[in-house]
Amino acid sequence: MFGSGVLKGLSVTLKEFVATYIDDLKRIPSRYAGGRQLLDQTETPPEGLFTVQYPEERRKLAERFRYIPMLIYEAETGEDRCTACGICAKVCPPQCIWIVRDRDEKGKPITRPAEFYIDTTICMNCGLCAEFCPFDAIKMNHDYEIAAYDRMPDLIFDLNELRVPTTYYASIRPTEWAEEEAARKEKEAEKAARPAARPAEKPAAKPTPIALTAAPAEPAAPVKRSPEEIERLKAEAAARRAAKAGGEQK
Amino acid sequence: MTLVNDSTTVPAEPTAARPPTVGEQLAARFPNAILGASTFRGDTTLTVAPTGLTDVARALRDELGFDHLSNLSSTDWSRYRGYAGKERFSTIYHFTSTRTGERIGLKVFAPGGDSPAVPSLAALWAGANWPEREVYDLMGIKFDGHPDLRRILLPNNWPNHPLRKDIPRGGETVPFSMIWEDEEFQSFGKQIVEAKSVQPVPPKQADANKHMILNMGPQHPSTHGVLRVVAELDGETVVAAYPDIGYLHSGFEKQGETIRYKDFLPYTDRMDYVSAMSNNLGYSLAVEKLMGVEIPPRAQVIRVICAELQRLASHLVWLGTHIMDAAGVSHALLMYTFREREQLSDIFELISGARLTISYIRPGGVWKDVPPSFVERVQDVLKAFPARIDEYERMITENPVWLGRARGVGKLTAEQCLSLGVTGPLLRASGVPFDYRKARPYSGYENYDFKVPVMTEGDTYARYLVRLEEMRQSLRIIDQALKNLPDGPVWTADRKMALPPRQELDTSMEALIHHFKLMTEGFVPPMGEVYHSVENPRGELGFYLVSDGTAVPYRLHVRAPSFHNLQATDTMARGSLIADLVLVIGTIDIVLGDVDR
Repeated sequence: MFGSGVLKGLSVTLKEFVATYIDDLKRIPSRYAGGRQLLDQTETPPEGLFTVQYPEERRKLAERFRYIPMLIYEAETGEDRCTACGICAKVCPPQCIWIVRDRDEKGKPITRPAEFYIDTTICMNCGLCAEFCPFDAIKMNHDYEIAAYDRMPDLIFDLNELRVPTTYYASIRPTEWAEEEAARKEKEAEKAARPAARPAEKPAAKPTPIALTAAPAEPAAPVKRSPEEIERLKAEAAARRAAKAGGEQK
Repeated sequence: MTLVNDSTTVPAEPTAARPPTVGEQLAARFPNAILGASTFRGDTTLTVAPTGLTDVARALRDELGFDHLSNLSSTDWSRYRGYAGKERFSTIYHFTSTRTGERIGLKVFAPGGDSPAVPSLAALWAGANWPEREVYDLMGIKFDGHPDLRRILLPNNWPNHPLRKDIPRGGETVPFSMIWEDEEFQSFGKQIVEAKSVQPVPPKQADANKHMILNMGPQHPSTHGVLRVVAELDGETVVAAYPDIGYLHSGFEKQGETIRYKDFLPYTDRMDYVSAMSNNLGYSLAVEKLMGVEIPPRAQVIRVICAELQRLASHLVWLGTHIMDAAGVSHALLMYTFREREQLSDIFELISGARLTISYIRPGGVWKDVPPSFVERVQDVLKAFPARIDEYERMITENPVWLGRARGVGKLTAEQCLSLGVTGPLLRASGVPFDYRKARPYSGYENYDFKVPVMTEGDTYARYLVRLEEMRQSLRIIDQALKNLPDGPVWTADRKMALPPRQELDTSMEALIHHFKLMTEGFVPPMGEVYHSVENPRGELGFYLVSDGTAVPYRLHVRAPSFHNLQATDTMARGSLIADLVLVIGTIDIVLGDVDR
């Protein structure tokens, strides 16, 4: 019959249209009543049509999600993990990392970056820097909302904008963090056990500040943080940064 | 539709009474033309005198069955370590037999010093036209007898041939560059500014006195990117269509020749950005072939799953947008296909952290092992997709509007396809059962039971059916791969590429030095050259690598499927209506990042 092909096709459209609402009714709370902020797409895939109502709703990001790199400092001591070795700048395919090594009063280079810039306008989010870093100091951030009005000063991130505490890192990448911590602890235990001749002050001198933070005790159980908590941590970090910057100016 | 299931590779057994190889046959027939032969990693390359190239190529095609000109590239040897040859430039041709999957390379050292010239193969393979123009454009090698030797990717007034080794990367004055200080921008936003650009010149083949010349693109919604098609029209009928490309040329090949093998991987994502995983796979396999390393079985299977998921995602994008191109057939389909693709993008995000520029498959294995929830999520796909594909079929296959638009449009015969170097679903819809996964299996594709859909009509509708069936076959492959996912490492154990394990670093000085060398210098392949191709969702994606024994590729050439397939636009569109030109472009399934690179 003429037109049966069209009708068949339209029946699919109608089915999908209805399914959208039936699917929503099955889920509590309903998305269309404005009940959800974070959409977990690991749940059963939705029926019907599906639109993330950004920015009211957001997708839950996969743990491995990668965007702009971040620099990690120990939450307890405030010390940067970065030693300004420059491996990340060397492997960066679009060459968007710029590091200046810090010097002490005598002018001797020390293992700390004085300046660290990432030009996010050309960063291609490949994650090679994080992969190559021998000190687990540079990792890929989850924060994708970096839009700014001006390209040039705003999108070139400096050390202050890149620094995040270990607690933040542990909250966005729990599995990776747990793995690294387990490896670190194992190595430290090994070191402590092996050279009995060495004075015992070495392990004591390192108070292992990481273990005192909110890190998971057992590597298998990842820390689940609510978005508010992450926001709070970020705000704290920003406040600390601001305090530090203010202190330096005086 | 016929489904072809025979694996066509016949492993050559070195017996005492083995038949002469292709190289030996050719050397016997053309003793003056064949200057030498070399074999590296199983690839045979014959060195041919320029004068004998056409004869050898004709004999290869007509008598020995090498009917597909896979790749055409060139190398500038002037900075090659230890190179003592007389000629500075060489061109290389890779021929593949669509029946047996055999491959042979011909290398021609171009006489003429800094302004070299070799005979053109465009008379034998119409598809040699664009690649030869590309070589002329980027390397400056002239092709005698070429019908239309112009620049293809760069602007006509470009000052040099950038792939030559004496041209540095970057720093050139770009003729079309603009900065905010330019006077044109002084009144920006306040008035309409007249462009200073030159008048568009119709292609010299076009008869502008008799016909109307119409520019479609470069900004046109249905050209799928920045493609300009200069259409010569007689009324509403297309007399000829000349695609003008290069708007998105980014110099990936030049870039690749300045950075290490491993660092080039993120760039491959950005070429064919609709199927980044397949690009990663193609590049990784080429580098691994050059290095001669083995990949552990788990990584192989993960690669196959990822490549097939990517094929699904790519075909979904094609299906949704192509149906949109065919005006008013079913706009809702795009929403459905993108919903399904979302599911696949989520899986890519889960395993690699990125949805589009994935960089997951790497030379040496895959980036990291898949997380535990991967299997479950892929099973979701396997559960949901068959019904979804049936749904698309219900919407479209019998839709009279779609049938009317697609049937008989953009026809290509098998001979035309082979002559033009068209591969992928286009070739298979024209009746040639050629698929690299069957013809030259890689990554363990020979272990999977799947069929190659083939149709003989060679029109847009046949390509639609072929691609839909390919999606079903991809699901079959994923299903088998997932059931047989072995345990084990995902990174090669070969110390040429793999980092030494952590515990060795504490005990062995050699391991520490090796670790440092690999981290700072990267892995170093032996001197040699390889060409490896894979079946991308669009066709044959090949990488041609020349190594001079350092950690940086000496020459890196990409055989992009979209580039070669786009050449068929003119053949397909001739004689059809201007409205069908949109369908012709859509049915090729081009990605302009892949065309221009």
